[in-house]
Amino acid sequence: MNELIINNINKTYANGVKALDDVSVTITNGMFGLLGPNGAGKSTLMRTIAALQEPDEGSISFNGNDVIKDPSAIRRQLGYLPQEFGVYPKISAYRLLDHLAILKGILDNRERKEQIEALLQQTNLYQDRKKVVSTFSGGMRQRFGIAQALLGDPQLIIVDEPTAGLDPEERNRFHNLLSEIGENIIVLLSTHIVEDVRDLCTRMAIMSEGGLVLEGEPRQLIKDLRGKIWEKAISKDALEAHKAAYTVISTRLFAGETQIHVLSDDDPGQGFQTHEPGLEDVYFSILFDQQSVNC
Amino acid sequence: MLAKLIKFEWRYHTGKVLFFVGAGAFLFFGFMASAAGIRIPNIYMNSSYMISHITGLISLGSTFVITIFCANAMLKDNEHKMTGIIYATPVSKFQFLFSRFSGTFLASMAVFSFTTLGIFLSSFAPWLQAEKVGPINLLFYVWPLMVIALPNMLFCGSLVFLIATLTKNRIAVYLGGLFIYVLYIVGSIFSNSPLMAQSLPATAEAISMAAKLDPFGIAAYFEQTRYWTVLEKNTQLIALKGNLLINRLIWTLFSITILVISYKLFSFRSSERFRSKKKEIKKEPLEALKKYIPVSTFPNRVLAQWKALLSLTRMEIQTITKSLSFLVIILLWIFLIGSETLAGIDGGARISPSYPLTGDIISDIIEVISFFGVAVIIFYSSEQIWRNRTLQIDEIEDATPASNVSFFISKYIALITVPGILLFTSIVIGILIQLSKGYFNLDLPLYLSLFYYSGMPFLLIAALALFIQSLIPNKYLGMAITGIVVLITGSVIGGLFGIRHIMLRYAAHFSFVEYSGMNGFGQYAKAFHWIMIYWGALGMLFGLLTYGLWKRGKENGFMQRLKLLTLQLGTLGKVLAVICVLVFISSGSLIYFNTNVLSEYETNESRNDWSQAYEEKYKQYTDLPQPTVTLLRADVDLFPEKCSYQVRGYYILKNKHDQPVKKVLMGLSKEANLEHAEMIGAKRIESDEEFGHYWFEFQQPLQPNEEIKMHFEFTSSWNPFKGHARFNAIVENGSFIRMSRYFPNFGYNQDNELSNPDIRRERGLPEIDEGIALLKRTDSTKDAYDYIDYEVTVSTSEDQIAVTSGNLIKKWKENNRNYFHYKMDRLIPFRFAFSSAAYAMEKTTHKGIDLEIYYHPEHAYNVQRFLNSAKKSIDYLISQFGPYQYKHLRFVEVSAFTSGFAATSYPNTIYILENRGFVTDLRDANEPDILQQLTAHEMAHQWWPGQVDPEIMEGRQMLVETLAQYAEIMIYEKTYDKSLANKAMNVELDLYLRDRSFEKEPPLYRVDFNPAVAYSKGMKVVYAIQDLIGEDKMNQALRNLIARHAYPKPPPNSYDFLDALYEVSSQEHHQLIDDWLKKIMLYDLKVISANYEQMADGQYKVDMKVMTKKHEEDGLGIEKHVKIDEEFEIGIFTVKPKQAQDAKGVLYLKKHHFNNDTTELSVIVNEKPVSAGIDPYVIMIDKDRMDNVIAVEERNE
Repeated sequence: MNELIINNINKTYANGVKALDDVSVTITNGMFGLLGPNGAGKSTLMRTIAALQEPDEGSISFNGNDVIKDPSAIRRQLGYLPQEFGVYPKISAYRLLDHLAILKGILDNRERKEQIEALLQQTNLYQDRKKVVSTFSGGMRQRFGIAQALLGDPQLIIVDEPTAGLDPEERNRFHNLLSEIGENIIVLLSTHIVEDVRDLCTRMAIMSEGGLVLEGEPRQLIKDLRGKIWEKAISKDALEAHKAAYTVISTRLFAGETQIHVLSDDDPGQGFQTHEPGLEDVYFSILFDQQSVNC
Repeated sequence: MLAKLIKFEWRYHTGKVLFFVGAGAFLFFGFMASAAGIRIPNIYMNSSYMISHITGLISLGSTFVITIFCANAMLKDNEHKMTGIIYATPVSKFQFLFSRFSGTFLASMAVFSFTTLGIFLSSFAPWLQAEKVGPINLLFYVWPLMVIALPNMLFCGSLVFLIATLTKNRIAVYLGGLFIYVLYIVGSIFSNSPLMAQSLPATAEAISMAAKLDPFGIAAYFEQTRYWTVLEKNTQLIALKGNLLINRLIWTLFSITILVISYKLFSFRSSERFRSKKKEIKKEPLEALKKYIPVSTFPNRVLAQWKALLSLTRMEIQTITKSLSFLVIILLWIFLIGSETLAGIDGGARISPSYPLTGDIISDIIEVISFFGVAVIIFYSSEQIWRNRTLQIDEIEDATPASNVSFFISKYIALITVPGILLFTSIVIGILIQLSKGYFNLDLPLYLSLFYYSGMPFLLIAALALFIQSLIPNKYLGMAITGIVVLITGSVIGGLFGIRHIMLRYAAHFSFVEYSGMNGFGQYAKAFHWIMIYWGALGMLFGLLTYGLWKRGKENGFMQRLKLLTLQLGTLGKVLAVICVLVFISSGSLIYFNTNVLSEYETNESRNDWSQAYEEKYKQYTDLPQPTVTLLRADVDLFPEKCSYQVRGYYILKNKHDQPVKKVLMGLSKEANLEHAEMIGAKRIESDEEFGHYWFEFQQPLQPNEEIKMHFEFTSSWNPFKGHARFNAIVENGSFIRMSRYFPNFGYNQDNELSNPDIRRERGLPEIDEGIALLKRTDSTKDAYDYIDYEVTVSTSEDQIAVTSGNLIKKWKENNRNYFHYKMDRLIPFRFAFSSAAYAMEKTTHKGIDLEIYYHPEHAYNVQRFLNSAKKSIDYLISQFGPYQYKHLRFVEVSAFTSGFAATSYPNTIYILENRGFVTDLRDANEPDILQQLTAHEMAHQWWPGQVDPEIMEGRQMLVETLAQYAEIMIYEKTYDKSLANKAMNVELDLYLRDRSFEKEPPLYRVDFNPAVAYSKGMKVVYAIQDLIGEDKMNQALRNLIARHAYPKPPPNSYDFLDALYEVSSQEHHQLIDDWLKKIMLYDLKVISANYEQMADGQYKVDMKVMTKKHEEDGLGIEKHVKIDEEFEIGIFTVKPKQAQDAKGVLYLKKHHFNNDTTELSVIVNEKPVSAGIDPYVIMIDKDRMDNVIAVEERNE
């Protein structure tokens, strides 16, 4: 069983932005989803765990090794897909994977070839393996990124916003691949797309303004919210009045009408109907809390 | 709207750091170039001429400014992915482009104008002498900015603008800018532009063509001002007329056209058409899906690290070599090195080409690559550090377990591969050039040594560059800092800041070593090894620090990396660092011992201090009566392998004064160390080691005509860490030592004085009057010669032959050394030299004279031609001037470790530099035969001054150099034809007109050391006198001079030469002889119009209108019109003007008398004329010789 322990890490950038605010979490095998709006500090946290950035304070240990003191400890067992990445120009997909496989330390040439070919097939890139990666479309490039993250025998895979830019079919394929390998190792997935977490993760955390505001199992979190979410379709003009009167956690347009979700332990009446909560409601309710705390 | 947009662009540029850095840099360039750079005697540093000169030169550098600004302005939208937004705004294409270009142009111009400010401020530099600064005239500053810099900026700007518009690629724009610059420099080298300060001027047509075509107008500026006098240079503004006007118009129009084209081609859509089409890959049938299985990794094994290093290195090198920029750099390099090498071999338009020796080619490569290679390293070092971040592959690679060692070393190896490839390319080009010239003596080991002598400094600079780039958080700032550090520590610029000591010059870059065909790299190789160890240790330390501070991941500040430094380095790293420090210190100590402890380290300042102190202490003894050397016997032991020699010998000294000599002040050069000195009957009472002076006092004063003997012993050696004196080049092979300079001398030594008048003034020393006696009629009846009886035994290593003046009366071998006993059978001046090398020797006898040639066996190409040239020279010299005074005549090749002459003539021995004559490629019979010229000139010196040794005063150079030049041109004309002789004289005419105004010009008969007058004008003028009075009479005058003044008869001066001329010539010619020799007289002869008509008898009548103007100048260029009253040749030719001037197709050639400024005349000829001219072969000193002959047109009335 792999174990990633993060203890009280803090990071403030030179421009004064507090990117990580006393984050502590323990993660074990399985898929762990990190959900949060843009700018919440997800990428900073991911990079910090990948030893690409040092926290100002706090500690991180992976399977008992101190990552901050000895970054090589985690690099040996890491697969990492950054949020944005590029490639060498004029280098084919196969050649680049081979290069990265060597950097990861796969010494046996045959094994390396086998694994690269398998990954290329799994990511549906096999036919394009001789193509130059820099000419890949966004989706192909993202799949390439996943392939490289899986090279070797990673015990911890960090994927930062992996599904951004993927079409539904590609996303599906990606989910399947991750969930297959995510049983015996830690897969840490950051995203701002709630569905990704809902579909894949056994555990999750929500991040906002540098801090972890909620952690748990998605199923349990949804269960906790049951009976507290109320829904109503209103006219656009009435939105302000409702916001004043109720705890409106989300609004969205549905078939031209504004639908609002309200958090309330009791039935607010006034035409509200009970709504079976989803992970999205968990997310929005937490963010709503967070914002009201700051106000 | 437009105004607002332009204002916005202006703010964009001026708000950037780059703007201020650029402004500061140009302020600095302008200031330094003016305050510490080019200086011409008598020309004010703030004269229009100098300001224009500096503005023009620095405007070349403006290419870089406008390139960067233009790239910023045109590509900022692209790179910040703003194009979509910008292009969708309602701004029109015209407004958009016009504002972008204007902003760029204005900002660049603003940056550049700081040059002018710098030049302006330099006039107030506190160290300047008031005499150097003329009255301030603001127009002098602004005018060149407008006329030269502004159009140049427009030119560069329009081109880079076009490139930016077409490619929308930053690298392409940068390379385009660099390309303009390099193309220009190469073009200048090729066209023999005055910019490159070639020793020989181009032809007038070439200059006029270059003046029109030079896009920067510098050639036009030079063309307009080339013959300006001192007065004009100080007062005149360059005029927008003639070729300069044409030039400016052509290139401004060109620039505007380019801008219009750019406007037409510009599209708001992105540059799709420059993207390569994606290749379609065939779909392969899908195999059964392989399952993903984790594979074990062993990143900690050494093998894994090794493989990672290899893979990273391969990736880095591939990324570099596959890029467009690399391809362009290589092409640029091939172009540059190819043309440089060819130019070096061809020797420019006017010198004969040389054989393509490997040694010369590698010297060219070392010289050219030192700058180019550094520029490339600086560029790629920033790429190496920043590329992965720009590509955004850094996070993926950094998250792998590959070690920092692998990352760092792979980057470094890839970086040094680039200069490696450049060197390899140069070698291939060099070999191809050699083969194409039919030269097969390829010296591969010598080529390979380039990788060490040129490659080693690159390794070190690459380490430094990576180190700086890894510290500086901004790519461009890093490049700038690296550039500045390398320039200051490596190039002459560092000298301005006092960085001259080799221990301060990182990587000893920019040509520390020199190569000579005879001597190889010589002793300098040893010093180079040590210096490489010294800097290598520091370079390694830079490498370790770069590794220790390696930036992995993001947002890790410098302080954080510093904290991790020791952890990162590890034990091995720390041990290595300590070793580096130890090696650095110990090799440094060794070098310091050699440079500063073994002998005193000299700076310019300390040398000047020394000279001043010397003068202040010893000047008082100038007129102290001293004895004269009358006899010299010496054993000279040369130790070429040790770069040292030892001399033991004695003088007989005689008191030639009419009063007794009580005290003797013996002196010895700083180059020599006195081991022993003993004067019979005298006692050494004082030794002043610092100035090499030793006082002897006689027990009994030395009476007039009394002689005594003096024994002495001294040694001399040099140390490769400090360098050698060029005239004391005792080297492993091909030594040449002007040894009479290092023998003990007597009395105050004026040569030790500071001679530069500016430095003298700064130091408050009294002015010296040129250091030469004024010409005056003297009555030299007493013994005016300090000639000596010369006999020496010289020994050298067993594989070498040593040569000095005298007859070789014995040679033998002893103790594995070769001994040679030379004795002169007549008295010679106190002037002798020695050479030693593993010579081959060829000899022959001609007219009773033994001709011997000592040469480097590999340079045997022209040995027979040398002997033939010598025979032809002897024939003329003996028949025209009288017998040769010695039995032997030797030509001796010496290594290029000495310099300062092409050939130098000693009694019966002429020493010639290895790269002059011996390796000249004379296979093409149409080329000028410089060998014949050189041989004739040097042999003539055996008569002038070998037989007639003029008094040391003004005008001596006329009797020495001018007469040798005269003999040279006469022999050349006899050997070949008038055409080649004319060409040679035209070269001299151009040289004279170009160089004469750099100092106050004396008339020929008072000339001192002034090559423009003594050599160039001298040859023209004496040839013209010969043309005027006839060769027979001329040579009769010279024979008379010998008869009356040859040693031991009283030495002549200029007046005696004039008298000899008057004597043989008719009275009517005396005025012209005076005009030419005693005045500065210039002619302006030209054909204004010429046409012909056929007459009834079938003959042709040619009517010509000619201008014959003549004016006299004072030495500074103030002209005075002189009434003409003399004859010039009128010629009618059947060929075009150019060929006519080559002495072809003569129909009519006769002297006519002129006494008006313009004259009309008619000539009748038998055949149809094509061209007509006055003074067609340009015998007179004519400022514009191209208008002397023009085409004749048929009269159509």
